[in-house]
Amino acid sequence: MVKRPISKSKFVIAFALTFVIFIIGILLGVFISELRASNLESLIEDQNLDLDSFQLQYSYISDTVEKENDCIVVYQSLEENVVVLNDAADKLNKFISESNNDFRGYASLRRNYILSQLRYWLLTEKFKNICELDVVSVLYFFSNSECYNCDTQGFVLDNLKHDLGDRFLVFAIEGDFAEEPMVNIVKSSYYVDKFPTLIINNEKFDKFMDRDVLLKEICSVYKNKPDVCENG
Amino acid sequence: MIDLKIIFIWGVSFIYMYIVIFWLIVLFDKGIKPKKEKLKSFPLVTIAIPAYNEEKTIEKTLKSALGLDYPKDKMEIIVVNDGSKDNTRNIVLNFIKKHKDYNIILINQKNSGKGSAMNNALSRSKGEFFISLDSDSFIKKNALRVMLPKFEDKKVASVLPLMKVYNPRNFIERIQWVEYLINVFYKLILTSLNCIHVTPGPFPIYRTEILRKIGGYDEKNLTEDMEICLRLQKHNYKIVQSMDTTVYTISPDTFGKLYKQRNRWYKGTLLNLYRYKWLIGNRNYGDFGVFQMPTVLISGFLTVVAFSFVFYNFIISPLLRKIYDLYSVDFNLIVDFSNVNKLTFLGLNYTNMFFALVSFILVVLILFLAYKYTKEKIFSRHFLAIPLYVILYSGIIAIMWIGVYFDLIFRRMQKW
Repeated sequence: MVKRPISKSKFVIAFALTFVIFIIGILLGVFISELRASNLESLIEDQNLDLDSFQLQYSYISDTVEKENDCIVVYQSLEENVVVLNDAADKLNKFISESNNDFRGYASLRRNYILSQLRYWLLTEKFKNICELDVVSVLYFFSNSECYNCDTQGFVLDNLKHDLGDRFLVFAIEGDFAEEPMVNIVKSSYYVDKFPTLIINNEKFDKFMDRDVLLKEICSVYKNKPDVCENG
Repeated sequence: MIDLKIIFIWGVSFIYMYIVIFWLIVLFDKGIKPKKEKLKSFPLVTIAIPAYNEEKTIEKTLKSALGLDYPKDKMEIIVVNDGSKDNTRNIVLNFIKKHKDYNIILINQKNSGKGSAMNNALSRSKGEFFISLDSDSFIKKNALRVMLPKFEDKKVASVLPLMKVYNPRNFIERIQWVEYLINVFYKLILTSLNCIHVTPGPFPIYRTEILRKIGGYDEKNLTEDMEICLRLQKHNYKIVQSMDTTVYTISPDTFGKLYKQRNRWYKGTLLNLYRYKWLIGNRNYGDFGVFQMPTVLISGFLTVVAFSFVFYNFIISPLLRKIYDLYSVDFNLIVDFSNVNKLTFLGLNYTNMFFALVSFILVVLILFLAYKYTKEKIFSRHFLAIPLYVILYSGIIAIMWIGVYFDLIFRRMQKW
């Protein structure tokens, strides 16, 4: 029996080259993850500064008698900040999904964002009371895993934010982020056990809500209803 | 945790890249350039033309055979009319009458397939070399002069010409035009490893003695050209791709015809792989056993799996998700447009993009080399075929393979 040759060296070289290409690709991914993390860190530093400023503004307003004008100014910038924060959170989620791996820097960033969202939410609730603001804030619990409707729920909330503008605030909380005790505290206080769950005016809705259903619930909270509540 | 989708994409990419890089290493290794030898004598050759309902092309095929730059008295042409229901028989008879100075024989048999027709011709053949010429193919006149010298190596059992699509007009034919160039280039690489696994119908030259020794054609085989090649490989003969001459073949011009052709080819491939399964991974057969046979085995399967994965994950699933999202907001598109502003360069998946870029560069390189070695110009009237091929080919082939798997599962088999 003739034994035909095997191009062992060529097989090995081909494997080595392919392997090197893959290592370069993976290292590129890690490098980009580092860039993403530093980009997000700088964003969060700005957010934390803004938050400190709002806490100071809140203290100031709660002690003043002529609140009305101050409330309007402070609320406008609070609303803008929440929008920026939500955009940053979207960015973070996008980065996580595009990272191919659970990059080590993202866990602390996620935690930071969740805390910022909760702080802003608490602050907003206080502002609403002091300034008697006719705005609706929604606490939205989502999950990045095993939640088919969460992406669509986020899409619906974005859609309503577009229509309701500064009278509608969304605070999105990654509900299965177990590393942050505050998440568990808020979840247990509202008995949140599945996703998506929305808290609107202290009432819990633990199922997916499309635009029409959600708009109806939100509109019922307003004292002075926006146009979109009338027109649908 | 890296998810399974990513492992799958990376795994498939790794296998594809590995195979292509291996080819390139073989290509750039010494000795890939085909030597140009001169024909020292003119042995008798038999050109066998099996024909079934080929009234439209048979005369042109016969003319191209007569047009070969080779002594008339050293050529024997055997047309096997395989029970044609059209006018093929009369056209051949008229042709013989008009060309009495040539040795043209017509054999009529009841329809029993190409393998049977070829064996019929083989049994009557007097030539030292036996050539199968499909009746929808046309050969360049220098073919015998440049192909026969390759038989100086006594282990060479078969020599193949460069095969190109004849006058491609629509996009189905144009995609095949590119595919054939790449296939020929691929066979050139495989020649240096002695790994060719199919000797396609249009004008492969065989050493008659060897063809008879191994038992002729398998008459019941769907792809007798692959089966005979595997049998030659089994007996450790060499099969060589020549780049110095061209055979033009008419390719299917509709999706339906292409599907029918490929269904037979791929089904035949799987059945032959099963028949010769002991060759797969067999170290005694060198590169053919450990590389080529496993590559042929997985290529169809990988194409289907990769295509289905990409199609579902990157087209169907996002599309359904978008429709569902829009349905949930009463098809209000405003947010979608505003979301464009949120895209950032950092949000892209650079690892996957890098792999896609490397794969694209490899595809372009293979295309460039295929065109170079087959002496075709990239910027020709068929240029548009290249992007069509890059974008559509895998999808088309995957659909063909899916059909084959369904047929095999439900035991739907065709005759040749």
